[in-house]
Amino acid sequence: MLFNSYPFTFGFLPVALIIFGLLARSGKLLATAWFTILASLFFYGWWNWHYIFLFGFSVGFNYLWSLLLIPAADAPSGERSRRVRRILLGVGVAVNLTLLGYFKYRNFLVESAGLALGRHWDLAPLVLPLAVSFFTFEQVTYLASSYAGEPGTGDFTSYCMFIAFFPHLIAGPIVRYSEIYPQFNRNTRFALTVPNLSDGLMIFAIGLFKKVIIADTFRDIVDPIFTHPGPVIFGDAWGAALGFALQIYFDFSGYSDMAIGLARMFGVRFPENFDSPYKSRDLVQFWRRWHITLSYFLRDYLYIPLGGNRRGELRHYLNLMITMVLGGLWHGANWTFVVWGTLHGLGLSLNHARRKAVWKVPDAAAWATTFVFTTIAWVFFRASTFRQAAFLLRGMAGLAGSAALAHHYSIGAHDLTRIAIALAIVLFCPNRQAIMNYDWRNDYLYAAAFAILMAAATMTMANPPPFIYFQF
Amino acid sequence: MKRRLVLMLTMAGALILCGALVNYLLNPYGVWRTTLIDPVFRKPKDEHVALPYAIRGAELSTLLVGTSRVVFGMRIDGLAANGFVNGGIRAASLSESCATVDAALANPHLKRIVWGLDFFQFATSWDPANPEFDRRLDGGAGPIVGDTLLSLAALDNGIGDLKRMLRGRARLPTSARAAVPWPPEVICGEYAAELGRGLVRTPPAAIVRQISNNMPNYQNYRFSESFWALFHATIERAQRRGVDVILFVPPMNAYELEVIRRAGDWDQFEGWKRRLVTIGPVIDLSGYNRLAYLDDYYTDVMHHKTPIGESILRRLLGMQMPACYGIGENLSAAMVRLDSRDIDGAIAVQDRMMREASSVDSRYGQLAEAALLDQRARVKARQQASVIP
Repeated sequence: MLFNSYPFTFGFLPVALIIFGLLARSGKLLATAWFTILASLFFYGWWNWHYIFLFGFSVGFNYLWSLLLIPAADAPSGERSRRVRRILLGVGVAVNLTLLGYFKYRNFLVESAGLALGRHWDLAPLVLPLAVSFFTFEQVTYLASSYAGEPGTGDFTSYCMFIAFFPHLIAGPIVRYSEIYPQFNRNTRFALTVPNLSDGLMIFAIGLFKKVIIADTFRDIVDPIFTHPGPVIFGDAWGAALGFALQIYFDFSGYSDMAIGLARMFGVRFPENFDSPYKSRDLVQFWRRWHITLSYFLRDYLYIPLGGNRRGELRHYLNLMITMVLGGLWHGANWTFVVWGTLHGLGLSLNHARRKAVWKVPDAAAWATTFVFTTIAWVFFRASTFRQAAFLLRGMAGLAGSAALAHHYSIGAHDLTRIAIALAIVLFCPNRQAIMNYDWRNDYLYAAAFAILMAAATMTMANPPPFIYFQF
Repeated sequence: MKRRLVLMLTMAGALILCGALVNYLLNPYGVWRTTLIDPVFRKPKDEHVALPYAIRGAELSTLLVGTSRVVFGMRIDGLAANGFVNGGIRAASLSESCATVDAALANPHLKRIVWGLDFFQFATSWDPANPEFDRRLDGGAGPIVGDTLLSLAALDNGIGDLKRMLRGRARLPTSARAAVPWPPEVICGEYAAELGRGLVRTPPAAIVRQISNNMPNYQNYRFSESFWALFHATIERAQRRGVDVILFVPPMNAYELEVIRRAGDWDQFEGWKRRLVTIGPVIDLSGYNRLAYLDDYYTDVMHHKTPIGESILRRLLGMQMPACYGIGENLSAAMVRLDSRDIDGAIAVQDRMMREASSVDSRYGQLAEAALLDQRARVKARQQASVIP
């Protein structure tokens, strides 16, 4: 069930909210929590109920394993005990990564090995279980929380709420147990409140509008050019690259807004996932504003354990590269994602080097460089092969080759206008956080804004395409 | 805060209801019974959305089926007019055309089907899936509500219809007001207005691009037995239901014929015609006849102009042909009735005309060859692009 579909918006969501509200009002905390969990499983199983078994295995294994990791209150806190728990943590993380690796990277690794060895092995295609990349990472954070002995670890209901809660189940934001447990534990007084509902609905409507009114319209520009099996002329290549940069931003930030809004309706506050990333003036800023929860996950669970910036300059850059390459690979089993991650790793290393050199760049030039760099890097993210990416990049460089062979008719004045408007929104309009922080004293204005966003989105989502990040 | 929430829900609900109500009143696809806007002012932008609803209408007696050659060549602005519904779909797959016919057979008013057949539709590779279209044909409340009430596209279409209505009937183009098929005088007027435009004025480089980009790739054509079986079964269902089925092969410009011939598919093309006549008689306008060289009859390399299509429709329905500009004469000279008894003779004549045409080095052949080279390069690039990484 997609957030941007009628069955979800006008069926699942209101019914879930009403039952949740009624149960919460009756004071049945456990029933409210388990209703939310079951509703989330229903939401997840709507796509393919077979997925629930894998998800159930992951939940069951990680919960039982986490019990081994939690430091016992009466146990001696000796080095040996900690070492054993550390090994168990490593095994637990490895099991999760193996599960992810099997479904997501098995064919990729075998094909890559075959290419390297000049061999070919036929493998049946594997269906990637929905959301496996996201819930695997959250299981890892839960195991780490259990190892650290954070409050609430070991509470099965809270754990299930943390993992399964439907607003973030499919594509994040990637939340930590410590962020959720205080809001969803056995002592929480669940309630549907008017402020949460009105804020949540507004945030949801903004996200829905971003997705269906802005992001989806770029598919017409992006898809034909990125799937064109030949050279692409300059204008089309830039149109497609810019179109994709805007499409993925509005698509994923729209999704994140919807997830945050939905969670807010149920009284849960999720961390922010986007903060106007295209306004960044360098890549360090960009990664603090783009998919923020993934950046923090990679920082805390990969970059810092690797040593971060504490082991010398060279190692610092190497750690950045490893983090970004693996971050790229996390997005998809393809070498193009590796290149995308590598480009960002190189860019971040250069950024850090420049910062140390106190080399001042004018703001406008810094912004333009960052934006153009990220747009070019998106080409590798979107293209399914290097050849496709090469066609686009050659086109962007004005080296399209034979005009007769080149793709030459997609981008028109109408498309350029769309790109310009979306770019203007990205650069000059307040973002969702700013809109929500505004002091809306006039209820009529607030309600009218919500109504326009919601009505426009509702009347455009008859045949909704899925979110881009659902494939990861 | 409570007032704000109530206002939010009320205003959003009211706005959505208003949108749905406006769509209901404007009724751009003719789904509802509202008659605020006369159907003559309708002009749906996407036949994939509008067609499934048009074929359920009570006014359907004749269904035109086919690809873009029927959509544009026998154009009906509002999709439906005086009992005719244009069921053509741009780049239609055979399964889409068959599904359209099947859905129309459920309409008790349907009496006749005029089916424009295209060789490329029977290729194994020509199977663009469109699950949304299938869902619409299946019916059900979901697609209807989503397409016709809760839809900005429908609203946009409806507002366009409203604007046309406000401008008045007199400002409508003749083609929108005329009965289907167009009377001879309308055909002559529209043909005169289009004279000297279209393919006849297209420069060679643009023709190569049109062939390369817009024409189906005839190279490596493989006839699909499963599509044939589907087509055969659909025709049988229509005949069992007592619906008169008229099959015809639309005219093809010499560029397209040269592409088919040079791609090595001529024998398959003729074999396809032989298969068609096993179902029943087929009116054939394709081949190296005089229509193939009358560039003024085409808007581009694939599509004949609407006045030509309307003239063909008149002829297929046994009506008088227009006498102007030699249209009737040219069509009569080119039109061949193929049936199982004399198919060998007819194919032999077409073969001879093909050999005569291929013996001279024409611009049709030259540009077709250039486009085929272009297409081959694209196919090669696609194959290389699909190699990992």
